[in-house]
Amino acid sequence: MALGLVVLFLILLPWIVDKYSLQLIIYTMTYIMLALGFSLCWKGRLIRVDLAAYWAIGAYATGMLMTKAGWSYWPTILVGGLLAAIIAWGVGSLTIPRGGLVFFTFSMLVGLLIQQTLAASKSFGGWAGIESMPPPAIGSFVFKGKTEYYFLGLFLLGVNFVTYYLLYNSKIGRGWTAIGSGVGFAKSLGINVVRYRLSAVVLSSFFCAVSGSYLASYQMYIIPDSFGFHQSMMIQMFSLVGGLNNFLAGPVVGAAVMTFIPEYLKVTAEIEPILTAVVIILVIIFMPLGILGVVGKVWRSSLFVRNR
Amino acid sequence: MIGGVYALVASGFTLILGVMKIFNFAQGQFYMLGAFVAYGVAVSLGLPYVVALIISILSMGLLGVLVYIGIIKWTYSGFFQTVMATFAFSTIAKQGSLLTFGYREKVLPAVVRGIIEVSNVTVPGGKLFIIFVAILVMVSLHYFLKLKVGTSMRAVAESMDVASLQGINPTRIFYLTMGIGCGLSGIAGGLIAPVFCASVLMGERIFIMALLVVAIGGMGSMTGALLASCVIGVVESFAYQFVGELNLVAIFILLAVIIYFRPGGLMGKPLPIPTAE
Repeated sequence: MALGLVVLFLILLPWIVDKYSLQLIIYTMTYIMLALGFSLCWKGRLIRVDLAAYWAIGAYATGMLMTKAGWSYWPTILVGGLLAAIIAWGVGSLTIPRGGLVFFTFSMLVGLLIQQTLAASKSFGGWAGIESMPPPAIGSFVFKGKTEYYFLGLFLLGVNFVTYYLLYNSKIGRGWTAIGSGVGFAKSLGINVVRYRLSAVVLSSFFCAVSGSYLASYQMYIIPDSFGFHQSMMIQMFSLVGGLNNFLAGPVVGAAVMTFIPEYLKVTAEIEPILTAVVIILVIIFMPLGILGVVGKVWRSSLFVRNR
Repeated sequence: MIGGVYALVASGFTLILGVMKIFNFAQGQFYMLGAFVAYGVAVSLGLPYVVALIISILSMGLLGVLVYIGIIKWTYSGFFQTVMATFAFSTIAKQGSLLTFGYREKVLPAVVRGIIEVSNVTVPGGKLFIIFVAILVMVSLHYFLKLKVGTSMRAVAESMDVASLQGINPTRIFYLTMGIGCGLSGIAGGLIAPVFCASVLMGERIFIMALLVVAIGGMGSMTGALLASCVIGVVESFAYQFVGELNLVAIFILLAVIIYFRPGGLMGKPLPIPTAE
């Protein structure tokens, strides 16, 4: 019942909100896909700071294949995702056995390396990036309005969300939960920690690249500046603000809140990062489990639940 | 030359990481602020350069302690939380100094002039001065860690609980570590200011390089940091001649090769890892 209402609301959404809000919603959906990837790795207590780089891989795969090779849009999503997964597998299998801190450091360095390489090499367009990409199309139906893109994004996000939901409720998801409550504990249960963590990293990289392809097709241009280290940290902030222990709903809430509120406050671009930073510190001190943590606490302590 | 500066920033970083288990994102910003303090003291107030260097190391050490008291102490609930908190502070420092100083680069007049010639190789005196001071600071840091205070610092790095059982106050050691680590960044900034310019955006680049130094040299190893910063400084400069903008890629390839053959870095053994092992 509740699920049906949510789906109906999401389908009717483009006709409820204005064009500007719809654009923000489209950006929010790409952020949600990234933040879900971060939460997936955080479930296995791996902190990654390179998600924006895999975002860039997806975007560049789509951009290069569509403009230079003349492919249609749909196979490029898959190619970008697989490319990101392969790179993540290479990096992960080298660093994950060495522990969380080494993986953290290397994810940061690799993320910077990918961004710098894309920006520095002339064949990828340099700092100017790629522009004038054709819109995706099915047969003669061309995606050109915001509403069509909204439904494309909703489909991709839905696939991502359902995949993660099914995984979290399966054997492998319970394995990640066990690693999250203690590595030694997980090992004693006979869980191959390295392999479980590696699968989390590879899977989240795949969906990050899918999100990148979607972003590239919506913007129709890519510049390397938008995939920097700062973006990777913003993604972590979404998960942190939404709720670190809510692996599916946390990123959704966090990304929505942190995209819409600064946009409507309308502060200047120089001051906005300072406000964001202050918000991060306050959230860590006063709401360590994020918005959903506070909501859950209020819900549990309310009269309604106590009487049942 | 640039290797000496990398070594200073990286050893401050690795000290804080080793003793406090905090991944200090703001290390590069302390370096940037140190350069600006040196500029302010030497140019605006007109004091001699040596005084400027000393003031930049002291003020950055004090700022580090203040950051620990003001921010990090309250967010010390987990590794990820401190990562986000130091990142937030580095954003505040960068944007704040952007608003105060602007994008304009500040140029400090060269302090040590003249060229020294050693059998066909000419070296500018200013760069030799940096190398000299960097080596001096590194050596004194090495002997400092052998003192009683330094020993208790290493004890805290090994295990906080056992150290406090031995009568060491970890909080005071944390203040000291934060002060020394950030002060090292500050003196690096003060050293680089007369050779390059002081700009707001210099903090991020140096932080990446310091991180590379720590990754190659081995986490928590001072000797490794010194060795790796020499290697990286040389490779970076040479690679720039051949591949230009892609010189970072050359360093990363070097890093991958080293990590493949020596997992703990050049000199290091792996630290006790703060996040779940």
